[in-house]
Amino acid sequence: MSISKELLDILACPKCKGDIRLNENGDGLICDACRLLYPIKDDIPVMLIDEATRL
Amino acid sequence: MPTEEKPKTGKLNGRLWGARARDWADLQEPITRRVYDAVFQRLNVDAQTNYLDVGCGSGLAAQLAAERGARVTGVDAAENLLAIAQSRVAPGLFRVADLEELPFTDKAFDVVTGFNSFQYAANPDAALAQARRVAKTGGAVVIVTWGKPEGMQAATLLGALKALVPPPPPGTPGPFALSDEHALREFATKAGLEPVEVVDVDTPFQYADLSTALRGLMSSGNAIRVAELSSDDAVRKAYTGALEGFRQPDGSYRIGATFRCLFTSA
Repeated sequence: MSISKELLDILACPKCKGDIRLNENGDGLICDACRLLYPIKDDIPVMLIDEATRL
Repeated sequence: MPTEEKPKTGKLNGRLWGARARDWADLQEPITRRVYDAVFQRLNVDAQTNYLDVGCGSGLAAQLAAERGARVTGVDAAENLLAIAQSRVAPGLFRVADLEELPFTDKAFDVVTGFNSFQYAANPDAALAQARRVAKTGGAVVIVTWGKPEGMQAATLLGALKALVPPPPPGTPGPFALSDEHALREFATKAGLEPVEVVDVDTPFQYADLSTALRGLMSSGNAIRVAELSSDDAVRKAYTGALEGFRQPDGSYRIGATFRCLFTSA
């Protein structure tokens, strides 16, 4: 999926509201502070804390 | 406090509102187009606007804002609705999120709207506080809810399913919990928003025929919740009965409805 830089700038981890980044495979968004991976399903990121994977 | 104990909106609403996403997108969401247009016009949404729709559904509001040039972002609980939103607004940023835990930085948006969404949040106060957090200082947060039920024809439809489910516990907020102007303004003030203006928008529900009306009405999360507790057939019968008085000579249906918009400043 393609996320523009501008949009990535306003995206935040729903838990800590800190920065998130696209993972290497491009199928998830990572919050390094919370060590959580938010999955991207059918191009739609699922930003639910309960659905995130612990890293 | 463990996260499980904090009421959130996502999971249950996602399942209920996503169940009949296509009918919602095609038949029910377009009914409220007049409200979206009125809000965007009042706020002069244009190419300078960074816009977030909280509870964006299948994205009709986002689409209209995008047509005015805005950069649009939408969150909803239902993946199925978001997939339709994304197909309508290719450059839009759509994600599944809890209204109580928005995945955005502080002060990111010029305009934040919640069209009939804050009152359905598991924790409306927390949801509105999040909307304020992500709005720029002086930006607009718009809370849209049902108009006052007295004399509103659509209130008959909203009440039609009541008999099918056990009464909610006393004190549970109903669909009109925020329709009272005083309650609505207080809801905003509590979240740190400054109420600016209340505008009522007449938005009649119009359907070409009975089957369209039933498909539209039965696609809402509330109708699906009631159907799960009773049956599809019971919901269909209840709506058919409630619709009877609104049948027009040409076989179409027209039900008067009003939406109340509170414009606030963050």
